[in-house]
Amino acid sequence: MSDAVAHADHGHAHAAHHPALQHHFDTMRQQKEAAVIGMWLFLLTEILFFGGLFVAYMIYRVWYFDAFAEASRRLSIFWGGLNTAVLIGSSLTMALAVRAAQTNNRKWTVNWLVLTMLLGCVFLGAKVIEYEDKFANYEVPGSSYNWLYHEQHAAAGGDHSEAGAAAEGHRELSLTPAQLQNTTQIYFSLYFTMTGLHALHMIIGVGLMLVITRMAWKGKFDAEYFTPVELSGLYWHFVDIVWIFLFPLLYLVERP
Amino acid sequence: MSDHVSPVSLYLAIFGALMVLTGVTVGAAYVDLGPFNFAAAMLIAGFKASLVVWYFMHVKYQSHLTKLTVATGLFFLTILLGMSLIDYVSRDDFSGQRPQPVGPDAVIEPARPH
Amino acid sequence: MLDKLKIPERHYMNDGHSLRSWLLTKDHKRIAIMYLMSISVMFFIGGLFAVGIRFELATPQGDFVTADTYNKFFTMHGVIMVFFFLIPSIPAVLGNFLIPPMIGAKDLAFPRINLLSLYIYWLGGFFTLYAMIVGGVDTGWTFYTPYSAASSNTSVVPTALGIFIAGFSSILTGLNFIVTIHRMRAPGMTWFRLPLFVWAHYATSLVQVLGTPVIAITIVMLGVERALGFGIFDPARGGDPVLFQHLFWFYSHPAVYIMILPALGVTSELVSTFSRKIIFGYSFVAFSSLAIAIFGFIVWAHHMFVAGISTYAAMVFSFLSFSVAIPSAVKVFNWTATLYKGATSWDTPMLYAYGFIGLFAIGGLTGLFLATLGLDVHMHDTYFVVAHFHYIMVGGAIMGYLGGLHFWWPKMTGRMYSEFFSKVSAIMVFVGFNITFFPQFVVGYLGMPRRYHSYPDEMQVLNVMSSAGATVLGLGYVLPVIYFLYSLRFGRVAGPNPWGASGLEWQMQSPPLTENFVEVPVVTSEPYEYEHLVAKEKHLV
Repeated sequence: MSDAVAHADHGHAHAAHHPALQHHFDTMRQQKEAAVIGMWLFLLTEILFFGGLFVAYMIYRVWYFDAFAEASRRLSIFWGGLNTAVLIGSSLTMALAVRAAQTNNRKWTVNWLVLTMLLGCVFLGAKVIEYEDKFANYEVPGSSYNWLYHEQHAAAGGDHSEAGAAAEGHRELSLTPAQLQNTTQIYFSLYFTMTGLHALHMIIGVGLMLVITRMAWKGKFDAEYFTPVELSGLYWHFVDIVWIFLFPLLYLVERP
Repeated sequence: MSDHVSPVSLYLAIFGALMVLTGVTVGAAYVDLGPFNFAAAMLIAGFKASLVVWYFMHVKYQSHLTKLTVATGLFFLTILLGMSLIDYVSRDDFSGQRPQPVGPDAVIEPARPH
Repeated sequence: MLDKLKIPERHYMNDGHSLRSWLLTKDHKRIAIMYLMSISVMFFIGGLFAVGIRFELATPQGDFVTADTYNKFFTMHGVIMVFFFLIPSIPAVLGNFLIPPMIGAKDLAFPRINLLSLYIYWLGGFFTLYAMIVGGVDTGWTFYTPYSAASSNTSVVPTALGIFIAGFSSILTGLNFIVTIHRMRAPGMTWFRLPLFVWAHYATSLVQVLGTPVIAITIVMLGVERALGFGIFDPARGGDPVLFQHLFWFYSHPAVYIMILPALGVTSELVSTFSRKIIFGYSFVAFSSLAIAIFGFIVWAHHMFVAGISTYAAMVFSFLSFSVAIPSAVKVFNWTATLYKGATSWDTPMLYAYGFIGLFAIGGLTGLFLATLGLDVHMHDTYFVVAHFHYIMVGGAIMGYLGGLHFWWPKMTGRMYSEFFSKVSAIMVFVGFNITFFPQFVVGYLGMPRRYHSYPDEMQVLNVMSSAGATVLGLGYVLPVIYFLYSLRFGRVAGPNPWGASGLEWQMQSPPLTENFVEVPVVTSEPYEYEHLVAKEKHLV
């Protein structure tokens, strides 16, 4: 049992509370801290979500290292590296957007957010180019998959300029070409699932940014309340971190 | 987030560090370090991620609860990865159970429609 | 003399009458009531499949339905009961309703996310029921590859999608509870003054947030394998079907703790209230909830002892599975010590609590048998396992849920239900449950496999007993629907605290105001101060 103390309810009687303060919270600080922790808990779920894919990757990379090494060479370091730089850049612009909101700078909040979205779209555009190449080379797992198509056509002088150095002569493989036909499909299954899921998160992120940018444009944020910008920032940075791991894991298994 | 506003120069410095480390990652991939290639790549990636978490995501300036939350997530990810490994690392030794990739006659059937 | 009690003028149920005011509500109590209705529907659908199963198993031959149809029965029974009834049950109904008042808050931290979690639950349920209608699923609720990925020609993807979506409902509920408990406690409500119900839900929420995403990604991987022909688990391409099992059980084992931890919390409340005694070893009980949640994450491969994992891994997981029994045992011992020399009573919620303690103990102990490698080799995939988990899930979790529902019903509705019929119902549930499931330990030990629609003739007697018990159990579940609904109109008005219980929720009117408290309470006393209360009462008499 408690001894409740008579205590004026902080409701509408007091005029001095921020319009964005929700009534079940006492202060803006409490509301914001709750929001940040809530967002981090959501990011925890994302860590475990991608984590399952990392488990699969880890196991199959050990089992079929040669398949992973060979298949990884089919990815373009140029596009992968560019995307990494673009995404890190977008994290910078996002951090600056949050900072602008924090310092009550409506104009630059919007500007940095727009830049972040643009960089995100550049990333997605590069992914489209990469995926197109994979489809063209029958490197999508399933019944149409043909591991040898790329080599046969590269040898015939096709314009696969983004491909890394082919596997000729650098070391003995422990898998036969027939085995590679099968096990490299596992690699590409993981490649498409991991990058596809990542790209989906980027698309959602860009969508989120559109909403937040509009809110910023309409002056909904000030130094005391910019939580949506901050939470979107956390999400965006997280998506960047996932890519920070995907890049070496998928593109840099063994080069040359 | 507390009332701490990071200076622009800090963000630029972190950005610079991340770009340099990306370059190092790519460069290191072209040097044959054997099994250490993987370890090096993961260590660098881990460090880059830490910079993003600590500075870009402001965790350095957040409450203990936030820091604990982040640590908890990483801890359970480690359990997921680590304890799955307990099975896989011990398979060959005890019962040679690694499935061999099948030979050239294997037929791959397309999945039936759901 | 007490004045005749009346239902208060203004309360959360009449604070807006339109459908819109319910469907767009931010009030955690209304959301809890809508969850109550939703999961009750799901419970009876899942129960219908159980009827089908027990009807088939009353005769040794597979003569009621084909094997394929039978496979669909037990799959749908499992999917609906696990994902759409047990996992939400106590947290979404009782947790949602009670956590804010128990900590002295006006609502959860994120009321709109709470509402969103309900919508997501409905969406997930829609996909699963749709899958059921267009032909069902026959893979077992565990969806093992390669059957589910490559061979089954039933509606795997819609069902899996429904589960995937419902998982987000679970995650959002857990996320909401964690932030609420950390940041919305009233002044003076320190961690060690929290009711054990709250501790239990905090632990549950950790599991929901950390575990559920893994089954989500597993479903994604299964989906791309099935729909796009990817080969992550395909043995023909070098994939490992056991990997699916690792990922599946990484969530699905902690999931069983999502299902039982809240019931353990409810039982602590009931045992304390109905012995008029502070719970013995409060901090041990509180920490045991956390221990169960954390340990629950490191034992999952005990579902896979005979699946092809290494012997070494099996030994590790077997040992760890033994250790997870320890915090559970701590609770049982502490409840027993609480009951000792307590002023115990036989109110319906307490009947459920007694039933819970006994049946949970049996279920938990039989888990130890299964955790023993040598025994599991024989008993895996037999009815012994089925009996074990039903003792915990039904004898434990559902009885905890019903006990909690009966305890807090007067708070939620302002009305008391029929004491006579509720006791009859509790006894029917207990007796019916044991007649249904105890024989299953025996037939399982004798070797009857699970998931088969026929069995050797000599096991018929025990199976008929089981099916007969199921009839009693089913009736025991139907009765509360009737007397609860009846009580809404004709039940005796309960007043704020019909049980004389401690806890901030009993300080509110019944049914509570939308905003819960007129004034934010300031907590100065420890939890479960029954000796204090009892002494006060004696003074007044």
